[in-house]
Amino acid sequence: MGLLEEKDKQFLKDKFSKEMDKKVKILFFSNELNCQYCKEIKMLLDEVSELSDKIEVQEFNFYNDKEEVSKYNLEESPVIVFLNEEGEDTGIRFYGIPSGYEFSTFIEDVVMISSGKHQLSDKAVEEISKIDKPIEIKVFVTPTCPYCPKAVFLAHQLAFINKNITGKMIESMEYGEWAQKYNVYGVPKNIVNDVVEFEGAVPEKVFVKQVLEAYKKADSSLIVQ
Amino acid sequence: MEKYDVIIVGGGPAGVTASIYTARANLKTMVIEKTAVGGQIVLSDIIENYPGFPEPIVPTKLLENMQKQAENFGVKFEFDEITEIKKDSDGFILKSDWDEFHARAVILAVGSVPKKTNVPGEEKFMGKGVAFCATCDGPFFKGKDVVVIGAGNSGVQEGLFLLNYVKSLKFIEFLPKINAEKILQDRIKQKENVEFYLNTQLLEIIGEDKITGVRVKNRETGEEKILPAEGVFVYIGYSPNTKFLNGLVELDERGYIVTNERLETSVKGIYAAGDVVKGTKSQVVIVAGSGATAAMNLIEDLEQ
Ligand SMILES: Cc1cc2nc3c(=O)[nH]c(=O)nc-3n(C[C@H](O)[C@H](O)[C@H](O)COP(=O)(O)OP(=O)(O)OC[C@H]3O[C@@H](n4cnc5c(N)ncnc54)[C@H](O)[C@@H]3O)c2cc1C
Repeated sequence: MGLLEEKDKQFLKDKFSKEMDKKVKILFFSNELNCQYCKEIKMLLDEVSELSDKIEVQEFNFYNDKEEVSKYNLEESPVIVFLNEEGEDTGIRFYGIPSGYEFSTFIEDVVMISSGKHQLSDKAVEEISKIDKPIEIKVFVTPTCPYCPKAVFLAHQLAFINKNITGKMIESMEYGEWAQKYNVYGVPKNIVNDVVEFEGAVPEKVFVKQVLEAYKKADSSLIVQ
Repeated sequence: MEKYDVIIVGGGPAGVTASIYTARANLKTMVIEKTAVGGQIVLSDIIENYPGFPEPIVPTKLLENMQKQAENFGVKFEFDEITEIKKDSDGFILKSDWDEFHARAVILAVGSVPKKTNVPGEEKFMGKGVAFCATCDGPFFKGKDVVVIGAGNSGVQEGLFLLNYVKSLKFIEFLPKINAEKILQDRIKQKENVEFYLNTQLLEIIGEDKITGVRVKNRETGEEKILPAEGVFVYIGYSPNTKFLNGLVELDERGYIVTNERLETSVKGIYAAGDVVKGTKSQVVIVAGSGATAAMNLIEDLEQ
């Protein structure tokens, strides 16, 4: 049995054919040792890719495909990486399954990368474009958190418009150790370069301000990349 | 600056319902929401008293449907926070930090936010064990001892949801009785790992790096006690989101908006709807009706 319902498939098919333009490449890094949802993730990706010939999915093994793993700076798996048609890294990452509320973020990402259209304000784009050092935004979520997609999509949009930024959704149950390490008991929890932390689905401006704050503190020695 | 006939501040059930009515009446309508469309009800895991749905439904699904319905009539949804509203010659200017919007008429459907306990330790552990959203944060408390502050409708309903995860649940209630609907009380009383501390005041949330317990006081005997807990969920009522209005419209002493029966505020052209209106009972079916009422009166007034 598939994960997506027929009705949703039809809806997505229409959406993709109306709103997509260029190809999107989705890389999925799985592992066979400790991955609760790898099977489901692969199934979900395959079902989505069947809905448009502009979506390509490629699976890698986190332990064997070392070259790709280091190319995209992946420290753990399962993780999903988005490339644009030219094969360039968009900086968009899903650590863990994009299910529940995060499925909608996943779909928004596909459409954004393909169409080139994001929803950021001109002012946000102007501010974020100035960033010329690596910035890593972690957004911890649970699949049952209705506010989380806003935060994840913001992080992903910032990554999309500036190559120096990586936007990571982290599913807190799959990545329990990370959640513990960062003392996450409430979501969404946003952490920028491990130096700035804030909670909640905040408006764009507040989010951008926090990212700029981390940028100011960005001393390349602090960044693990 | 973008011009609209109607701008609705707040994308909860009141605001979204109002937008369906104004857009359907061919008024150019925008809903501005700062967090996520759906409002407070998306904090709840189920809703089972909204008519037309015999099985309990997921609130986000209901609100997604409302949003789709609004979008079908042409409503624009904007993700932003309004920080100031000013009058101008032909309507109102609504400002956010980076944007300005213009509207001939405004509906304030800004709802309310959960009240904090303001006891020592709450700020320190905010998002680190103190929580307001059981559906969001419940999974972090799997197998743990958790306290719920407040045994009203929200507290008991969310407590029932938390029981899917937690080892034990203790309710701390200031009043001498459980104030939730009887049907909710009956359900929670059937559960084994639940205790009620009535007539009890929360004094402090304690712990070094993590919450280890709460200090409470029995209001009758004065006896103080420490109850072990790793999580604290707070449901002690709500306060209206009206600070940003800065005195623009008349409020009551608790900050709720005062309106007449047409839901007009003290400023002509500004209407209010939903939980934020003084005297409204907080239920989705009621605030949806309130949104519709404000919208219909607004439509009448703009057409004149
Ligand atoms: C845990 C819980 C369980 C509940 N269970 C039930 C139930 O079972 N059945 C039921 O009928 N009701 C239930 N309720 C009550 C119901 O959620 C509320 O009555 C309803 O959500 C009120 O709707 P509203 O649109 O008036 O306000 P809200 O839902 O509060 O929406 C207001 C919106 O305005 C936004 N906003 C505020 N200020 C600004 C600003 N300056 N700029 C932009 N946006 C802004 C907020 O972010 C918010 O999304 C429950 C509530 C809670 C908290």
